Amino acid sequence: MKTSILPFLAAFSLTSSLAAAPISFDFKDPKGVNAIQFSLDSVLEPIAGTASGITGKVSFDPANPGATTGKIVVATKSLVVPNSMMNEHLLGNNWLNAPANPEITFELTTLEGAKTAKNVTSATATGKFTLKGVTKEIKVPVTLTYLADSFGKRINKPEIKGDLLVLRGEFTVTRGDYGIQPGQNEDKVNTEIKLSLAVVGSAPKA
Amino acid sequence: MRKSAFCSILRSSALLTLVGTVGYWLAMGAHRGWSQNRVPTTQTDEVTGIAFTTYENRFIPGIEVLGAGLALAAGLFALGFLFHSPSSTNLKPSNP
Repeated sequence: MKTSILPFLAAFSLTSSLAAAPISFDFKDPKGVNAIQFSLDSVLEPIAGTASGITGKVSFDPANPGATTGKIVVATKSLVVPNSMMNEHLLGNNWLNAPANPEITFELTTLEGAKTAKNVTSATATGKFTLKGVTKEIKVPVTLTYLADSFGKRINKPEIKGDLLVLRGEFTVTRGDYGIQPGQNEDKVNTEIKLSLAVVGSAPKA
Repeated sequence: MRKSAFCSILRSSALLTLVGTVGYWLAMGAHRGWSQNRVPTTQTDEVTGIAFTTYENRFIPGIEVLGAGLALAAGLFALGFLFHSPSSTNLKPSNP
């Protein structure tokens, strides 16, 4: 009896894994590590800082990475630069106007050219990027690293099962395109904002 | 107070300001950018390999602090000229 049921169980298990549903990863990091780094060339030194108020969800299927969808949200008020006066200017009316534009978002619509090697998927993410209330479609080269069963290890509770998804990408936007001082102070602050994304999403298993 | 004494005080203050400002700026790391109220340090999350930034609330004087100190020193030195009196040898009446 035992020998006859084993192949059935194995076949059932294989079928279940092949038909696995996409996993929903929450990007509100329990360790508070998630951040987006930004940099603008400026007089004397680049204006560089981070934005740590990351939330959002990404649906990722390890068996079909190309079907990934999701949205990453950054709280505008979480932008930090080392100089507090610069920080006030950055969040003020003339620049990001954080009270009126509380969120910076990237909504992934398609993932093109997905190539997976081991647990790393490289692709071009096309999505709607919203900054200071202006939405534009952009393409971002990204890598997605799927870390199965690493959630518990990361929070020092190995008894908790779950997966991690690390999302990395770099892209550049022109500030004038998003209504950030268009045509102004271009001799002092570069028009291009470099953005670097390295964030992790968690999918704990109940 | 005599003019020459006041002039000496101003010039000494200028020198102290110059030395103090440059010394303070050098001692605090000789940061050649703008002043920082919070200092970024990069750490790495072991499991994911993500490099992330944490901030330490600490003041690092930048180039504008150095510039302000040097300008103040120059101002004090220049002010000293207003109270500069001619040297005593020039005040002596010439012999007939």
